[in-house]
Amino acid sequence: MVENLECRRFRNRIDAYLDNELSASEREEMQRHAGTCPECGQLLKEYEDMRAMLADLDRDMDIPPEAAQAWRSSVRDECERRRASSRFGWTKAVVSVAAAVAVLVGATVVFRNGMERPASYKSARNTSYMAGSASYDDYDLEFETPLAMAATSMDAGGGANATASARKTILESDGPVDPSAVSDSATAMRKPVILRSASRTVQSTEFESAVERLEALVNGSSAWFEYRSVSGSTFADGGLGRTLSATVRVPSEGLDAFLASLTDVGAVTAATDRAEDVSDRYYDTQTRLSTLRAEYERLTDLVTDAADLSDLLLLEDKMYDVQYQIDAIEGELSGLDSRANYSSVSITLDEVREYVEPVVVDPTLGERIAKGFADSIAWVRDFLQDMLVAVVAFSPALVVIIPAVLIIWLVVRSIRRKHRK
Amino acid sequence: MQMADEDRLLIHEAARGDAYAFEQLMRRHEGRMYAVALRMCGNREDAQDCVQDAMLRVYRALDHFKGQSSFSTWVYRITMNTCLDELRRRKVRASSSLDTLLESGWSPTDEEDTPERHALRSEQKAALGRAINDLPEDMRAAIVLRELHGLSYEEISSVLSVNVGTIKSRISRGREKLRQLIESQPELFGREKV
Ligand SMILES: [Zn+2]
Repeated sequence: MVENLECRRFRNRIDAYLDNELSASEREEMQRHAGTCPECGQLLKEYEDMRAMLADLDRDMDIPPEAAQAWRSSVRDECERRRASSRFGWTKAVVSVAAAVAVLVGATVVFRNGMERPASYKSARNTSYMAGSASYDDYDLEFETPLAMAATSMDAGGGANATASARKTILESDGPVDPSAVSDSATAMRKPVILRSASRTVQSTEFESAVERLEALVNGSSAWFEYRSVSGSTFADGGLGRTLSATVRVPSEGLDAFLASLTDVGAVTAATDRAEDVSDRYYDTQTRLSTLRAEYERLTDLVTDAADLSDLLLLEDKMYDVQYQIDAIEGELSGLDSRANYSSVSITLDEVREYVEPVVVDPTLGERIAKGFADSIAWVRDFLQDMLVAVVAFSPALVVIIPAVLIIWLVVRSIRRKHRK
Repeated sequence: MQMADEDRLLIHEAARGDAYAFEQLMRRHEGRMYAVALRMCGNREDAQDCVQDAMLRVYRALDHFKGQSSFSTWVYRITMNTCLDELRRRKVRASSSLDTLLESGWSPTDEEDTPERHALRSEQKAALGRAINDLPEDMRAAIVLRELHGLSYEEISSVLSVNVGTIKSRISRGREKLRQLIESQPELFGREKV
């Protein structure tokens, strides 16, 4: 087997050739060598034949009917279960909140009967409903959270392990990360690499023109839409309004101006800003890259001085590995560069029927409203204080009630789990 | 932007739990998902389980799909992760896949082939399939996505959450291993050899 440097070179580049990653002149050079060197020509032919066969291997494979049936029925089951559990969950939420409110209000009323109270408070029975509906809202929120969490963990289960750990490292920051926080004097000189991202919810009554203003803003900021999608339907069509969901990549130096200008698009109703300092990772990676490049240089020098063939082969194998690592690191760095240079902004633009305009009222009416509101607040506050006192007063009974409720809940949950499986 | 409007509409409907829209949406992906699962698991039962599992994962996570990558890359990613999870869980190296592949009645056909040629090609493909099956999992995943499904290195990198350099290295070594196998079976592949 005759192997010379030209053959080694050919073999090292054969993947790049097969993947069509070489320049025209490099391709030509490869083809020329394959034409003159029978060994390498045969090798290339084997690779190309093999790739053709591999590409053909599963080309027309179809899913067998029983597998197609199996996933469809499991998705339908899931869909049914979801509907049933959301119906069940909603009913359960309403019933348990109503029960809790009834118990609390009942206990408080019973308790208040034994206390001295201004007469004006005693008649306000219908207002107790207010307290009830307020706590219902609270409950509703809490009720949704575990579902959302389950969905998120499902996403992670779907393979986004990297995303999950990345999420962990994101820090909610109040301002730019302070570079002086880096204590090491050598690293204090370097420019911090910060990945910024933001999300905004914007509302507008005129959806089309708001979208146009957003497009103009994006174009004017040298930004671009990485993703956009419109869902929902207009009020005129009986819908609940449209929503534009978009991810915009904005040059980081113009991010603040861009975010500030979003108020021209519509009313900004929610905002989140994130900044992740990846300086350590970035500069460590850069250091690794220069180390590898130096090693590559050194190996190149050694190749020219190599005494015998086996040394040469060893060296070139080593160079091959180093080159792979260099490629990988360069890819990682350019990814970080792109994320640092272009911040990602998630925008949700909601079409709304109307803004809640500040109401202009005549002063006496305003005063009356304010007074009524303050009275109401005072009543609610007193009622809640009484409720607290009542709860504390009845708390000895909880020693019995809580374990009982807990046991019932655990039993119900385990039954539902089994049912689900 | 990368998606057809029809797809986007179906994704939206399916994300709200519409099973019918979901089935419509996945009709174009199920064949490829099954092909990947079969190559990764090595037998039809596990492949069927993985597809079913992956479909449920897609269905549940659909409202989290924000279009950062193309939908089909995302589906590949979930399918591949499901298979790798399955392999890790069973810790059993897939075996005897090709017996089941052939027994399943699936074999590529070419109208112009003579019966002899056709038989030879089937045997070659069976041998190639066995060789793929013998590759280490990581290498197999990369080879299946690149050579059988034609994904780019960047796409494979996002499917497997591994950087492009490593993917290139795995594919390079995988190709070399497969070619060596072919070289070692001249009675099957050696027609052209001098
Ligand atoms: Zn040669």
